[in-house]
Amino acid sequence: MKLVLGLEIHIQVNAKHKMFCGCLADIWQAEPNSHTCPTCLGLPGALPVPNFEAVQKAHKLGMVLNCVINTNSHFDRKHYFYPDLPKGYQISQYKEPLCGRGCLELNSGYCVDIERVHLEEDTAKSFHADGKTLIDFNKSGIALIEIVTAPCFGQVTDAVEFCKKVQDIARVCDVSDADMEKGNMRLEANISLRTAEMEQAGILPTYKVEVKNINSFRFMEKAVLFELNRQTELFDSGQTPKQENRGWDEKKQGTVSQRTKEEAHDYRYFPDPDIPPLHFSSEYIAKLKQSLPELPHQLKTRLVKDYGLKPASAEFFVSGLGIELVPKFERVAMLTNDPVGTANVLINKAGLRTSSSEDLAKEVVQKRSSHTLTVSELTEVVSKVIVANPEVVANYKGGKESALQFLVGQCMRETQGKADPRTIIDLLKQTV
Amino acid sequence: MPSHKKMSAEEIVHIAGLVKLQLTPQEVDKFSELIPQTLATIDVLQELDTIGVEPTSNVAGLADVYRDGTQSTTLSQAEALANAPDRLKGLIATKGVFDRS
Amino acid sequence: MTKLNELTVKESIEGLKAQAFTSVELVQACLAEIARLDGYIKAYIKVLAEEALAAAQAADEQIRADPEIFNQKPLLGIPYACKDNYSTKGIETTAAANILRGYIPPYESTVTEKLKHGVSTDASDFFVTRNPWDLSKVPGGSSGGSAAAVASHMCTFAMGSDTGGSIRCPASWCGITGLKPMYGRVSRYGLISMASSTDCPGPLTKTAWDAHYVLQVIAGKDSKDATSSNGDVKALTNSVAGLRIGVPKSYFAVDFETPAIKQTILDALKTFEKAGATLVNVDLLPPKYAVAVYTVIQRSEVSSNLARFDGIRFGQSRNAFGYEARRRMMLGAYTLSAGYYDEYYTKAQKVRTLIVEGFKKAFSAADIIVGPTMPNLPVPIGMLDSSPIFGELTDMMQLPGSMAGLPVVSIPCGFVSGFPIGMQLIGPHFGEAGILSAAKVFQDTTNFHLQMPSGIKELT
Repeated sequence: MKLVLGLEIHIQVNAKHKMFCGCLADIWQAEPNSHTCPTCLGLPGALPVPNFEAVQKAHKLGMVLNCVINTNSHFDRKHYFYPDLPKGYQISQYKEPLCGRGCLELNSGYCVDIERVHLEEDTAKSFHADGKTLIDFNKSGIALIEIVTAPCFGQVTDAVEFCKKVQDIARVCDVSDADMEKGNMRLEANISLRTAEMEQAGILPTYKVEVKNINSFRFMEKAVLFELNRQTELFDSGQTPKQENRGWDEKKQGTVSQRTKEEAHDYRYFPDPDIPPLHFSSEYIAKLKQSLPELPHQLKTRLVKDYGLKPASAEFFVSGLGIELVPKFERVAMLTNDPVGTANVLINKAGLRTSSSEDLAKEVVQKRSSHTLTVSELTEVVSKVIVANPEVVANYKGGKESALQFLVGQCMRETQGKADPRTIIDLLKQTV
Repeated sequence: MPSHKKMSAEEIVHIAGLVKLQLTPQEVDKFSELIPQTLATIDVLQELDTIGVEPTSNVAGLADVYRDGTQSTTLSQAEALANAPDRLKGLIATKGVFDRS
Repeated sequence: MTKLNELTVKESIEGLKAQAFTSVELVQACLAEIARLDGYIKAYIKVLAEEALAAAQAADEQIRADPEIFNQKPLLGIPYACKDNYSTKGIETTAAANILRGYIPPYESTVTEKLKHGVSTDASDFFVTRNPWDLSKVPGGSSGGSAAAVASHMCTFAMGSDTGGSIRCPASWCGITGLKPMYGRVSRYGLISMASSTDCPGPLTKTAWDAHYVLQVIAGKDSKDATSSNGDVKALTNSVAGLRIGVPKSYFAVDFETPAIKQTILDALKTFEKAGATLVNVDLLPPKYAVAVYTVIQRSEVSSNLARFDGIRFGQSRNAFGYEARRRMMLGAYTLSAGYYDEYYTKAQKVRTLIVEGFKKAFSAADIIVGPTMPNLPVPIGMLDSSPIFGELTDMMQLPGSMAGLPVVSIPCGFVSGFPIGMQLIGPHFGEAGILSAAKVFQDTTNFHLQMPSGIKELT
């Protein structure tokens, strides 16, 4: 049996205010129920008014995910009953989401098929203790972006890579801290299995198991693998898995059925009459596109091309914590004229990452001298680079100065920065 | 034109579940007749040709209305909790939602 | 001599300005009338006597200090009654429903905030309110408490809300002026939602001039209601000369339970003609389609709006819902549910478009449209509904205006069997001043609006 995996990623927007009211959205470590108002508490007569900042941020994320930006959009009401949903409906988007179909390329070149990116309001936070449900409405109404992919993943590693990329993008674009521990990025995996024949014919399974509220990439990997086994065993014993919601239980190291007393879902979506429709001009879309920062894949290409970093080193700087180190990397690389050495120090010496650029530069230079290769070792490297780049060498001979820079970069890369660039330049000039 | 036969008790109970209502057997019986009767009165809409007509959900003719960032009507914790019948340590409490059976 | 509680808003302000009487005296007159009559009529759910007197005293001090203060606080010191579905901070607000028993809102609705210089008493139809013209009859709903309070002069004016005729129907049956402003003209923030796409806060008054005056205070864009609109309320004019009054044949072709009502309206049209207006025929869809559209949309929106009543953050558990609410939610859940949504909800929204477009076309030929408000006289208390859409059938003339979000005013235009008859004047978007000017001209030349229910005069 083959895995069929689709994802729903929820990302809390780091807008100043909540999605439909004036409450501040920064509720981290706040007293329970201290950030509520009639609107996000769902009191009778209170009304929602949408937050433009959140709309723009959702659009930015959609743009980076290469989604169609819909010129007409509106909010719908999605009905279900749960104590953490104060109005008995969630203001969400169904028929006209902010962003339609998109795609994101993984390192392997595989394109993840994105169905939509829409905006909605977060629910409150509920705890379950002693047969009671306790609710803190601070989280209620915070702007939440939902990214829905097609059931397009056949491997859990691809799904994890996609989630990490989305996390990086959200941070780079200042859409969200996307901190999974704080719960401002949450994953849901729709998992089912199908036969190889079904896969070939492009037929989807008739059921899906929805694993909700996964709050780490590791748990997602575990949950999917657990489901893969569980569902395989069910098929082996002649059963088809039930369509249901499950949750990852870290203690039990498995997914468990989340059967609630609530009724079967029929969300009864309809356009929210409290909120007039939204229209987006091509000028607005173009302007927002221009404001997008350099994206992880663009940065990676630049680090490899302009600084001569190896793709693996460049990857460090475009994902996770590495993104924050990019400005420092660029400054120190300029100071030392040694990008590869700078990268090595930043990647390998975590303790030095908070040092000043000047101190780091000293470290890079010192490291280089202590590791400096002998001239004979260097001569070997230089010859190798010259043989490998005949065209560049020819260009240099033809008088193109920048070609020499490239060759130096290649040598530095080969030696992992353990060489003095000036020695290399001398050697290159001699040899050529 | 759709027909509107008496609805089954099961259907009525399902609809009631959607809006979280517990109906008495008498109400189930009443609604199983009343809903089809009401639907029959709505059938008059089928007389009108609406091909190519856009649905209207907003008659004020407004669009693109956003909150001006300054407005806030945030309540204190005491105000937020004041009307809740059950509460515990700053939280609003209700009976558990998980089915323990 | 006219008693103070019988004065209009206009007369009351003139008297206060001239210091002919005080706000305290106005409030006392209303409270005395409430004490005398409300045991019979049951218009009020709660009378905020102490609060009203304190507010009146404060108003009197301000008026003494500055008689021109009405320029800033147009309704200062005027006693009004408010339907109990406006959120009032610190004052129990129940919408006359058990589910909200005990609910004390922590916030104020935009409308009551704007009226805060007035003196509020809290009206409701929690109980069976009775029609001042005949205590065995209903006043009409659902702003019946507000209408009965105005008609029996237990207040100077009242606030109601109109979803599908709930201001105009009781205004018609109680013989007063009831204005449903254009949808979005007055903020809904803090008004407990019934059908969000048609709910309109509006005043119930003794005259068209008063309705216009109150509208000026409560109208306007509210940053807390995304569906509210900007736009000035234009001044009233004193003439209908040259006014094109549209007469929709389809509104006169319906089955009048009391045919004399039709004749009363036709007579009123002649009054307009005599005053210089021209009558023109306009084609509008028969009201029966608006009845069906309204039934689907109101039930759907009600089923959604009542979902927040879960007894967790406020109010009682969902078991406290009465039969009427259950009935509406059941149908709404059905018409919105998977598999039926397009057949009912989408179809209704499309027909709604036809209604809107029909009005647009009609308003190219006419400045205002006039028709009957109700096709029947007030019904006896306790009369069982003969149809699952009984309310919609009696309100049918009002539903097209509601579905299109148009401003409509109902004013008394005659009497049949001792009951006041209401005529409704429908205007285009932002056209309140047009319909209220016509209504004022009608009231300037007739005295139907000055009649008082005689049956309650002798009650003690």
